Amino acid sequence: MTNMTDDPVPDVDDVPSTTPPARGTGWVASKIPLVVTIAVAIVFHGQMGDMEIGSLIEPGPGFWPRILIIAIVLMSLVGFVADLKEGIETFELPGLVRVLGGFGALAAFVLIFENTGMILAGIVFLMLWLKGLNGESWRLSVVLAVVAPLLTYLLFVEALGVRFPEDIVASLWGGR
Amino acid sequence: MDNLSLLMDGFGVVFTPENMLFVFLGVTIGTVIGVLPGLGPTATIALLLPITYGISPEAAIMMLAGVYYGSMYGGTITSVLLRIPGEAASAITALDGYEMTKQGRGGPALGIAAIGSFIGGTVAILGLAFVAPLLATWAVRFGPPEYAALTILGLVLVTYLGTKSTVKSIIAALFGLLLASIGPDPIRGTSRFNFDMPELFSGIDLVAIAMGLFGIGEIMYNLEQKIKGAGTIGKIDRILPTKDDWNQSRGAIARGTLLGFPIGMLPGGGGVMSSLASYAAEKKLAKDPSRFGKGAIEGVAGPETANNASSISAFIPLLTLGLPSNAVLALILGALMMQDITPGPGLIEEQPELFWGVIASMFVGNLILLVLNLPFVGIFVQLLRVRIGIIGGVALLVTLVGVYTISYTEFDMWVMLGAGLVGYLMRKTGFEPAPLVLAFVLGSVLEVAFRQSMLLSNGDLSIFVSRPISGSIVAVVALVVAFSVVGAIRRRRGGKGGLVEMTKQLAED
Repeated sequence: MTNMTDDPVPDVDDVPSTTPPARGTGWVASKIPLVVTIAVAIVFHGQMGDMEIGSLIEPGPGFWPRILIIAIVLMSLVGFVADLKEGIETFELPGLVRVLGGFGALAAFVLIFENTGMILAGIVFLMLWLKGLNGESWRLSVVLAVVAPLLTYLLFVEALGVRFPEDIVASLWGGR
Repeated sequence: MDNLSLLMDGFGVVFTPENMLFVFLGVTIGTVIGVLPGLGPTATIALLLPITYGISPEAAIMMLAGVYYGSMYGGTITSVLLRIPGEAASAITALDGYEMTKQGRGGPALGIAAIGSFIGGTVAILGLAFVAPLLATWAVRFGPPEYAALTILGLVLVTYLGTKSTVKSIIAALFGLLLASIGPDPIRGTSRFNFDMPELFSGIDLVAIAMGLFGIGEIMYNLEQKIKGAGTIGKIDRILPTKDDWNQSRGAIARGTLLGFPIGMLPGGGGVMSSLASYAAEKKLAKDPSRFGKGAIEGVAGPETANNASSISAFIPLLTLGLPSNAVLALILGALMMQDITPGPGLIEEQPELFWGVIASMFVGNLILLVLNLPFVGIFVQLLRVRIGIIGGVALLVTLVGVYTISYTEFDMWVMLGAGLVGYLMRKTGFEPAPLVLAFVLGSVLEVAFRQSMLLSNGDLSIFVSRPISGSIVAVVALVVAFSVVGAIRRRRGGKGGLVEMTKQLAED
């Protein structure tokens, strides 16, 4: 099977992609994720506490996680000698600001959702997303930011009977 | 009762208004997201997971399966008309499909792709109906060592075949396994890695992880790239292929089916690899290979047939062994588990309505897709005018609300946001989220199987090689690892990359 599918296929180098081609960055950049993976493995190791390791005959709750943590550290160390530059893309300021703004808008949704319910949270989020981050027109942004949360509310709360935190907008017409 | 009668009963399950609606919704959503570059089937299924919680398991799986194979049809439209693959499995179609469009034959290219997809899909459904029960009967004999070996084989194949950097994918898979160990110990119930947060006592929810890594990660990546709407859309005249077109394509369709079916069953195989393998085979067998890349209809018919056949056969390991062969199937497994259904060799006996209903729904879904993709293809093309930023915003809203409904806690929303940030950073650093999610789903299966094997053998690791089935699987694992190492050495010495390397390139794109 593998031999069959591994036959070289010429003339397919120009297969188009949906994303721009990845730009390689340097050795240091390609190793930063490995430092992060080792750090996370150490954090997990620190959380093992008094988790019993047991033995091969009777493995305890800590046996499997211990194997995984060791394997992550070992593979990350292998990564330091392997060439991992391929696939790494540079972070450019305008794009990075948009992405951070996107996560900020999502975080704003969760915080508002907890306190005032779904509809207001949805309106704020969509206005930030459509107008602020995607540069859509005011008209389209306002219409979508109002209609989409209302439809979502009707679908989830009225049709499916889902309970969201108390909604201050819906309370205006007696909704919950 | 023989398989055919059971299949007929399956049609009885499909032909209810509710299930028909979900099949229709699934294939339509699949076609739509297949058309839209920037939102693939994995992200869409991740986003739809919470909605499936409130419907019957049959309807849920029928809809999600429909999204998967529907996206294979939809992805072709943009490949052929715009040279932009809507999803990775249709990338290779762009080469000859777009050339056909430039020659004024875009319609027949789409027509033959839809017909080939229908034939490939239908034959694969029949294969599924007959192979799956046989495999399930055989798999009943599997014990913990066989499951441990199979799970490891799946993860090894996914990290090697389905992704570009094996080292990065292994690290991602190991993290998936580690995240799966958060929560109660599967044998003793002891709480693990709760970081003093009560919400983590029961572990992390797959839906939050999958929606974050795939859904939010992908939408944020698109936001960064500022992907705009489509460019000039190629003209479509008549759709139906001529007799000459059909004569040129029928061999490719037959071979595409035969190649796509087994490749779909391989972990890490799936649509991309099957379409590439089919293209390679057609080019090799052609009397005049120089026609390829210049509008050869076989270069459209073969790959499109193969990727559809593989998207159907990929259900075999899931429904018979409980082992998903790619990230989409891992999410479908997650949907089943949310409904308290654990697929395995017993599924066909215990849940006949689900198994045969889903198979029958694939027949119906493929038929609906044929109709949608022949006369109505023009409507889907219009979708290309909708900007991805607008779709992304609305999808995020529904996602956030959907993840809340799983356990009615904001904690899952924060987990999803965190996973989204990780997913975005993974994409930027060339790490694949798919091995992580697959390993996360298989984590508890592997741990339980491993620990039970140790208990059975009194701590003797040779249990994995001394039993015939697990021993054979371990031998295959060893072969794949050896092949991977040899391939890496060859590449380092400047050897020519083969199909697997190209698949990895496409998988990354």
